[in-house]
Parts: sequence; C-alpha cells; structure tokens
Amino acid sequence: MKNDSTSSAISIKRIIIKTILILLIINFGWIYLSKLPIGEVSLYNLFFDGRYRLPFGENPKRSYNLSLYNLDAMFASHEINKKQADVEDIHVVLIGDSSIWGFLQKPDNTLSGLLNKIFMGDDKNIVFHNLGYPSISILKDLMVVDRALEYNPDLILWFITLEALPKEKQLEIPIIKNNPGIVNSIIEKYELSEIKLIEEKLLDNTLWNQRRNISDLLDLQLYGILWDATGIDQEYPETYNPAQRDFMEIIEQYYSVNPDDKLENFLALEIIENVIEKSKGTDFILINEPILISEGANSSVQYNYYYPRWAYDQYRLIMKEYTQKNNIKYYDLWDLIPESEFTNSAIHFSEGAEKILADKITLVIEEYIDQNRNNDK
Amino acid sequence: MNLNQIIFFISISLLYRLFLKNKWLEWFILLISIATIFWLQPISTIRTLDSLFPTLSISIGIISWIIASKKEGLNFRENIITFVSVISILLIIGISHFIPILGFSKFVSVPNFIHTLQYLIILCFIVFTIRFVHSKEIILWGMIGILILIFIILKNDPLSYTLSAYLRQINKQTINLASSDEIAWVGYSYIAFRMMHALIESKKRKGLDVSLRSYLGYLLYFPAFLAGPIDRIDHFQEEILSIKKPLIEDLLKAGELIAFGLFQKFILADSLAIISLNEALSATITSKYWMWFVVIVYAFRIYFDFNGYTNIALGISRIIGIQIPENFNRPLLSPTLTIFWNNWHITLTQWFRAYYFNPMTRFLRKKFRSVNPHLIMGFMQITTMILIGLWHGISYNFLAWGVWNGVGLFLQNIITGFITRRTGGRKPFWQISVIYKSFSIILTFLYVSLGWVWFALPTLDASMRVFFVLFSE
Repeated sequence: MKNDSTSSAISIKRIIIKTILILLIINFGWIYLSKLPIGEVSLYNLFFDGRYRLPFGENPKRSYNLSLYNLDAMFASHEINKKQADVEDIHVVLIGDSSIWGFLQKPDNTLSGLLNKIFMGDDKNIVFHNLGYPSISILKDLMVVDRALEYNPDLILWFITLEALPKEKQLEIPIIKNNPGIVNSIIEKYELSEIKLIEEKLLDNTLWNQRRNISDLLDLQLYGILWDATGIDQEYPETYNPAQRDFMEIIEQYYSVNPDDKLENFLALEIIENVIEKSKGTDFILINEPILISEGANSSVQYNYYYPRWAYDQYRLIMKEYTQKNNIKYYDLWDLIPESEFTNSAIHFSEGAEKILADKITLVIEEYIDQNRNNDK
Repeated sequence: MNLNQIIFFISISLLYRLFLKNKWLEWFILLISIATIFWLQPISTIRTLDSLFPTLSISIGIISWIIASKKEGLNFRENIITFVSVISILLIIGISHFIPILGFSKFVSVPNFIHTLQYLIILCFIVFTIRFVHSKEIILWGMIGILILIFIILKNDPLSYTLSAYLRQINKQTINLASSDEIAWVGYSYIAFRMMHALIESKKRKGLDVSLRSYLGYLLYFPAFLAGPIDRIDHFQEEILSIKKPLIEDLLKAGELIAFGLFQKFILADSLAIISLNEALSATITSKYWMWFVVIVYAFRIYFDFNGYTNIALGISRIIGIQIPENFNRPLLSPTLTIFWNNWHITLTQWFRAYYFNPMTRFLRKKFRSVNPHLIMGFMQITTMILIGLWHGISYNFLAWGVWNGVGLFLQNIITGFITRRTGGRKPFWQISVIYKSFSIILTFLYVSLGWVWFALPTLDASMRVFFVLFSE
C-alpha cells in the first residue's frame, strides 16, 4: 500500500514537471514563431469577401468588427488583398484617419464607396481602396502607406490634418506602440530623424503575452463570416452626441506649442517628404481634410474641439509653403463641408458631407487623369 | 463560472484531496458549497437580495431535509452540530459586514447581520413547527408546491418584474427601475430539482436515511451547483461513502475531463458564440445559406458550451474523488430524436421521465383505457418536452421549443411503429446500411437544430423570421 502511494507520488511529480516543461517550451518558443507572418493566413478573399475598410471596432459583438494590431492580418482581411482581376485598372488608395475610414457611415457611403460608385462602369476603370484607419497620426499613415505600396497602387490620396502631425504624439498611438518591429524598420527605411526608435522587448512575444493578439486573429476570421453574411462592419447607433460647437473654456496652447512658438518645429513633416521621395512609381496627392468650423460660443478663438484658430491658421500656411517647396500636389479642402454636416466629431462626416467631398475628389481625380494623359502625349 | 472561479475550485479540491482525510469530505463539501452560493450570486441592485437568495437556498434546504429525512435512526447530535454550524457560518458571513474578515465582503454578497438574524429566527421557528407536525404528506406536497411556485415566479418575466417592484417598494428604492433581470436566484433550478427528487423519494421510501450535512452537501454541491448534472441522492451518498480510487487515477481522469471541458467551453463554444444565431443576426441576415449556417453553428455551440461546463464539473468532482453522472453521451450522433433526448442533458431527462412521464403515462392509460395508447404517448411526449422547455423560462418561445420537440418525438414514434409493423419487427437491409444511418443522424441533427431557433431567440416573431429566411426561395 505504501509502495503504491509512493509510486503515485512519483508519477504525479513526473507529470507536473513534464507539463511545466512543455508549457515553458511552447511559451518561449512562440517568440520565434511570432516572427512568422501568421496574420497573412486568412479566410477573407477566399471563403468570404474582403472588408471594404481596415478592421476596427470597439464593440465587436455589435459591429462584427474588431481592433487588432497585426498589420498582416489587417491587410489580409481587406479587399485590396484580393487578386486583382484586371491589372489594367487604375488603383487609387485612400489614406487617412476615421473620417476617411468612414465613422458612422455604411461602407457604400464612405468616400471610397461613393467614388467607386461614381467611377463604376466608367471607361477609365478606376478602383478606390479605403485604407483609412481611425487613429490620427502621420506615422500610422506611413505604416499603412508603406504596406499599401506592396500592392503597387497608381495613386495615393493622402488625407491629413494638423492633429496627425505633432511629433510628440506619434509614438503614443496604440497601433504604433504594439508594432515596434514594423515601426522601427519604417523609421530606418524612410530615414526619419525626428522619431525615436521604439524599444523592443523580447518577452512581449511569449505565447502568454501574445494570447490576446492570437485570440484577436481568430476572432477576426469569425467576424468575417458575420461581415459577409450581413454587410455590417460598424456599430450604427440610433443617436450620438454631436461634435462640440461651444467652447466655454479657451485653451490657448496646442499640445506643448504656444501662440508665440513656431508651430512648424513641432510637426513631423519630414515623414511626408521622405515617403514621397522614396516611393517612385506611385503618385501622391496630399489633401488637407475638411474640418468642422464651429459657429458656437468662443468660435472666434477655437475652430473646433481639436484646434485653436491661431494654430490651425498657421498650419494651413505651413502646408501651403511646404508642399510648394517640395513640389507635392496639394489641395486644401479645410472649409469644404458646412458646419451642419459633421456628426459626432469635428472630422466625422455625415452622408451629405461624404457626397460633397466625393464630388470634389472626383474633380481632383479627373484633373489627375487629364494631366497624366497630357504627360503621356 | 468564469476561468478564475474554475481555477479556484480546482485548487481548493486539490488541496483537500492532497492534505485532508476522507472523514472530512462532507464538511469540506458543505463549507465550500455554502461559500460558493454566496460567491456566485451576482450583486443585485435591490438591497440585500444578493445575500437573501443564498440564505434562502440554505434555509429551504434545511426545511426540505426536515421533511424528507427519517425521524428515527438519525444521529441527533451530528445533525444538531451541522445545523448549528450552518447557522454560525451564516452569522459569521453576516457579521463580516461589520468586521471584514480577510476582505471576505469583497468576494461574496454579505448579508446584513440583523437581517440574517431575522431569517434565522424564522427558519428555526419553521424547522421547530415542521418537526412536530404529524401529517408529513401535506407538508411534503406543500413544499413541492412552494418550490414550483418560486420556480414559476423566477422564470416568468411579468411575475419577476412584479416581485422586483415589490422588493424595491419594501426597500424604499425607486420602483421605476424595477426589472425582471434583478430577480436572479443563482442555482435555484438545480437545487429545486434535487429537492423535489429527494422529497418524492422520501415519500416512496417513507423517509430518507440521510444526515443534514450530507443532504445539504448534495443540494448545494459546488461543482454541479450552476449547471448540473442533477445527481440522485442515493448515488451521491454512495459516492461520499465509497472507497476512493487511487489519487493518480482520479487526477488523470479529472485532468482529462477539465482540459476537455475548458477546450469545449472557452475555445470552441465561446468562438462559435460569435457566429451562432442570436437576435441581432436573426434580424440582419437575408441570405438563407448564411441563416442555415448560423442555425447549425448554434446547435454545436450550445452543445460545446453545456457539455464543456459539465465536463469541468465532472472533473472538479473527480479531484475530490466523487463521480457524478454524465450528462451527455454523443447526442449529436443520435440517429433518432428519442435517442437524442436520451443522450442530451441525461439527468434532467431522467428526472422528468421518473417524476412526470412514467407515472403520468401509467395514470392516463389506466384512466382512459379506450383511448389509443399512441395518442396518450404523443400527449405525454409533447407535454414532457413543453415542461422541459418551460424549465428554461416561461415564455412562448420555450413553449414552442417544447411543442416542436414533442411533436417530433411523437411523429418519429408513429413512423418507427409503422415501419416495424410492416417489416414484422425485423430491420430491412436498407435500415442497416451506413447511408441510412448517416441520413438519420443528419435528419435528427437538422430537426433538433431547427428547434433551437425557438430556444435561441426571445420572441416568436424573430423565430418566424428565421424560418421564413431559411425556407425562402
């Protein structure tokens, strides 16, 4: 009897030790496995349609969409990853923040959706891809542009706004923080001198620490089924809080910048010129996206929630001079949309605003095509 | 149960098995189970309700033991010690409201001490009264009636709402915020079924030979408290008293069950939950192919969810050395509806068979000898399934689910009977073939899956819409 219990105890010990060893090997082995492009394995564009916009969702159960940080998976789930049927088509990629992604708008009513409708069946065969992503950062834009260039687009429409440019916020964006490897390689590739490299921690990539990301990858595939079945990729609330129009408290400073400071020194403009210079073969058009110009209390000093007037006015001048100096095609559409056509943020458009913007961009595209034709001749 | 709670139960069971002797088993089960019912009861917006429900679970447990147990032959001293211990535990939990013991009040719903004292005085009075009433049968049926009444109130939205409003009124809280969701008595369904089983068995056997400690342990048994299975009291007692298997054997089996259960519940079921039929999807899917997809996924999801929980419960129980009954036996591979319902939630089906279907069928066949037995059988199958449906909640949808499955069982019996008569009881060659068997399994699965449409959705309209899409051109 005693012998039995002793051998039982030995067996239990062995089982426990072996289990712990196996768990440790799997956990730390994942550090090396995580370097493989697992995110590229996707059911999108294979068993169900690719998404019209990059995955983003704060309430997955309602939006059938979720926010994740695996860039491979994000692009693999997008319709841009579909094998293009006609290589002769002109492919235009739209880069920007939540306004371009189309917050509160159904995929067909986003800027890219409307442009695709406008140019559908047109003899020019122009296809627009929505690669906007709901976070405002020029470094995040660069990350998306860099990946989008792998698909050889003909033209990139890059929508920017002042809020995307402050140097001090570039590394604070979640998708940037969670992709240190990609961000560092981009910083080196595009020779960005003003952005610091992110410290990469090896232990962040253990299986235990990556469990959330792995689960997100699986969930993204599952939500793809619901996206295909319903066409829903965002939560559409019946009511929302409209963007702030009255400003009781005036904030003079913009980030750490005072009205007396030179705003240009605080902006990560270097990113734009370096990218355009290093991306020969793809045309870029820079567009200053429309903002809400408030008519409420203290609107004489504040345009909207984001911008004191002095800062935004200075920014517009900076951009004008900067694009002229660097020979970048640039449109300033800051005041294109009436105040009433903004939804829950100073940069989120209503359906009507999307139409106004689409009409304007149509002219931009037509001008671009005409110019290209003339250049060909 | 969430993952943290499961880990706690595994750890505490392991500690018991490794360091305590078998003679402490009943005490261990009783103490952990009492703590569990307070721990798992969700915080209620109605004052004191979250502590009232667990206290009531224990109280009605004690009362039903008084009714169900034999008067003679029981160890009086042992039962008094258990009774005083349980009362003391409740008082300690009550006092901890004022003197936080190791932050106890952070983890469990702690009742107000004065309220606890009031409940206990009432409880002692009831216990004392019942002990000296001679007509046990009236009290027994009265108790069963009360259990069913509570059940009806808890499972019926308008009645729960009325109770919520009433409790808010006596607590001087806003009645406008009353909601049926506030009346959530965790574990009541299973406790009530175990209690009714014990009461009916006690009537059959003229009292149960069970101690209070053992009885409360059976009622509130923590691994099976939330999702069953519904064990039989004599089997549970046998397991408590049995010589335990070697530790290594129990741990290996427990590990297998728990690992399998966790995989089923937290990986398979939770993932499938995303893409299975729900109210929002029933309203937004327009393609019949996708609708079939989410309906079928729901059938898998509910199976993995429930079976996962059961396996975890079986595993935790096995660590302690107690084997509780299986609740599922590959139901998705059943070739007929009868076999499906024999293999799905086995202990609940057995309960209804023992206490409703069999006695009622015997009664009806005796009473209505001229009526075709098939009709009586059909009536009993439909009403049994309706009762099982209503056990999940008293609503039109659960009623429809019961009718759907009851009618299915009835039709299947008629068809089987017809074939048997035609073939003289011998199975024709095509019935033995793999193709026929596979076809039967698929057909049964599809019928059951379509039945879940009533179960998964809150209204008949939503369910009808799903059927409309499923069978649209």
